[in-house]
Amino acid sequence: MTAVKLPAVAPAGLELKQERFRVWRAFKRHRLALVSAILLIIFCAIAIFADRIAPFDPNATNAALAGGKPQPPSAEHWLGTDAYGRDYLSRTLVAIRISLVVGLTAVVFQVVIGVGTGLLAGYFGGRTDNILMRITDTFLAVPGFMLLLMVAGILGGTLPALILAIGALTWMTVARLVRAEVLSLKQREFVTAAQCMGSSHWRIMGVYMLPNLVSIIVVAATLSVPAAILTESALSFLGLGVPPPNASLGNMLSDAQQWIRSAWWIWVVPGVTISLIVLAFNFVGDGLRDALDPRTRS
Amino acid sequence: MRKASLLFVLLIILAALPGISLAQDSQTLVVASTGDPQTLSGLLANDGNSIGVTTFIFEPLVLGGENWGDSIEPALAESWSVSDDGLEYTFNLRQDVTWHDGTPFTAADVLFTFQAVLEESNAIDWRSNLMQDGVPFGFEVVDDHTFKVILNEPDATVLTSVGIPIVPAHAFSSLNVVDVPFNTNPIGTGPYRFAEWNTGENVVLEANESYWRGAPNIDRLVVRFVDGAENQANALLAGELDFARIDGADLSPFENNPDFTIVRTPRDLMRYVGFNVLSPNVSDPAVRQALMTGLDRQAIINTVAAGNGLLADSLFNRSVFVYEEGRNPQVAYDPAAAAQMLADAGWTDSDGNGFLDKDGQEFTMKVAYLGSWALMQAIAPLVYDNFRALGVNVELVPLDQAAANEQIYNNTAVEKPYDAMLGGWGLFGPEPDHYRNYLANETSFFAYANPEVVALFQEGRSTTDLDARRAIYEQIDSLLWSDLPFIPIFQPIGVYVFRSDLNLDEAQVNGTFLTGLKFPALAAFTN
Repeated sequence: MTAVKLPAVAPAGLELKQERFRVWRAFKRHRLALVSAILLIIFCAIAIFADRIAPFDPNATNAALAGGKPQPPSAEHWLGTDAYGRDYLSRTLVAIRISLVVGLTAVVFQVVIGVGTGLLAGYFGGRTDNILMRITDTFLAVPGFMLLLMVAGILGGTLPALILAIGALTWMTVARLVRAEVLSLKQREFVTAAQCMGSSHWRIMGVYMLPNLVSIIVVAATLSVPAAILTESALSFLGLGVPPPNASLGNMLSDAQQWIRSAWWIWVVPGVTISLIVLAFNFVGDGLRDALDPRTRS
Repeated sequence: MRKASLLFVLLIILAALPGISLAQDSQTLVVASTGDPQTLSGLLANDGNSIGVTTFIFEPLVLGGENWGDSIEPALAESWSVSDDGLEYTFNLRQDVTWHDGTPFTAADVLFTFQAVLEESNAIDWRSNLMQDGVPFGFEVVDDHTFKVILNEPDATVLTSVGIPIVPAHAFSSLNVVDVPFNTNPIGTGPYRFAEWNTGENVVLEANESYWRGAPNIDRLVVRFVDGAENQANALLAGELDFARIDGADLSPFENNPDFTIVRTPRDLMRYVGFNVLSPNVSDPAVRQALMTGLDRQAIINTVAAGNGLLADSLFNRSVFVYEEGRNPQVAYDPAAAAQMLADAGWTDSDGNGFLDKDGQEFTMKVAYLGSWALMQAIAPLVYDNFRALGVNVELVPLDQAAANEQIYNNTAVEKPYDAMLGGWGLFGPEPDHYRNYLANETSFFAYANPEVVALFQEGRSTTDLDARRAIYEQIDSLLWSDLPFIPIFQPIGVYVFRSDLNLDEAQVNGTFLTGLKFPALAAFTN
């Protein structure tokens, strides 16, 4: 039998370090995940410094240069320009930032709501569980994207509204995962011990259970980021996302529609960027899951 | 048994697809429209999708009014005469006209139509056409085919004012024309009768065999909904459309392509940046002139219309009879001069944050527009960047249809929730009085009602002498050009693409789909 998972409060410093080292070793073995992680770090750096590394103002037009048609990549504009003469590289860099900000913060919302719901439902059980899980089912039953379109339509296309909407409509899976894990944790000796010592419910949930949930939360969150990014892109593509003239990968793709025949870089650049970000998050998520899941430990 | 049922299924499928078998018929023409009409009643239609259908079904007494082309020509009235005092217009109606249901067309139909338009609860756009200073015209049915319009004072605009699509009196039970089944099952006198409306897909029209000018050559006209020039271009290439106007789309697949013909012809439309002239930041005409000088309008034409546009030099469209190219001094793009003009008007960047300010107020500008309108969406980034380059803190506010109706199009409050808006309008025809509702009316988009302009419009309407009228409207034109309630950007040149075997020439394309229906053009369609 593999080692029983150590209660997070118990390990001494050395054991914790060993545990981390072991996860890192397992993750490292997943080559694709490693490459993806490096890629993600690069994307994050781009997002943070987008303003400073962008060679041009991403919203500055240059109609004389463009003449109404996207201009191909050149020495000055490495990824060409769009039909307004706006530097495509600069727009892409800024769009990466918007995509990542939306993806990551939406997932934070999603995790907060999902973990809260799952933890309460799983720990208290009974009526609380019933009510919270029925609410979760209700949200799951509603066609999410339709609801999102409605919410985006009502709130208008501001960034915070978009983030809130995506977060508020995608937390259900996390809630279910967390609840299932809490149900099993509840039966464990260290929880019983804590209860016997008279710890409060909140202390048991917060101090004893939450650290044991970190691995599944991290994996679920990592795998949700690409979904959130794609949702933002889809909304922007439909004109309900990031408001113009600001660039997002979705609205860049949307604008690219009319140039599909004549200007490849106009759709290849945002398309490839979006695919890379989404794939990278997925691979990192897979890698983390394999590394953190005790059942796949060798 | 199994074979028999298979055959049966096949038969059902074939029966369910009449459109497909008929589409192969050479007498069907599929034209493009961007979406479902709001109504099929000619009286209520005031959007392009609706007018694009109703123009085939209904006719007015006289062509040349709003939506009815560039020149005054007889239609349901074959002739007319004016009394010596200019107060009585007698229209002689055609006697050979029948409605699509076979009932003869008479003066009673004209009377009903005009009364319905005047009925306030119907809220029909044409209502002000039939009034003078708030008092309705008088009407008189002399006999079945003679109709009289009686005025309180001479009015030069009657012939275009009565350019209202006539509806059949017998199809309505009261003057209420708003919530009636007629609006989805219309009866008109036009060359095409309504056949079916497949929501989200198309409207099918069938030739009116007993049309008074003779039966149309094309048996079926399918107005198919394909949104966006690019999608229409793809549909043309795929053979799903026969005829579409696709300015703004990538034309390269059609250029030097023998299967398609491209025709370019100017349209009676204007694209503009409208100001809320009551908004403090843009209330000064000098500021509006500066913004026009700082707006690269030619770049907008090149970018959003692939160069297919005529740079505006008047707030009136070119089809207005007083328009004369070059009478107003053209405003060239000159950002340096614009910045100087703004500085002269008191706007400087005194706090060094990159945006202009005056008396401690930053120059912010909320620019509202219908976000789902691809053209406005395309114009917006250029307006944003040009104005921002002058130091204006621009915020683009794309609105969905409902919000745009509420805030812009149907907003009759004097206070507007925007500083500027992007818009496009047109089909006003040759009569400048048709602009009065927008340019001398404080509840319209620009909240603009310069007393001098209002008075001149009033005078222009009651003046019947053509030269005197011309002088009045030339004066209005100059006043508007310096006052600039809106910056006129350009009049688009329509790029029509159609199957080469349709054999159309420019005049036909123009006459048919540009400004409502002119029958001779349609009759000339040959396959």
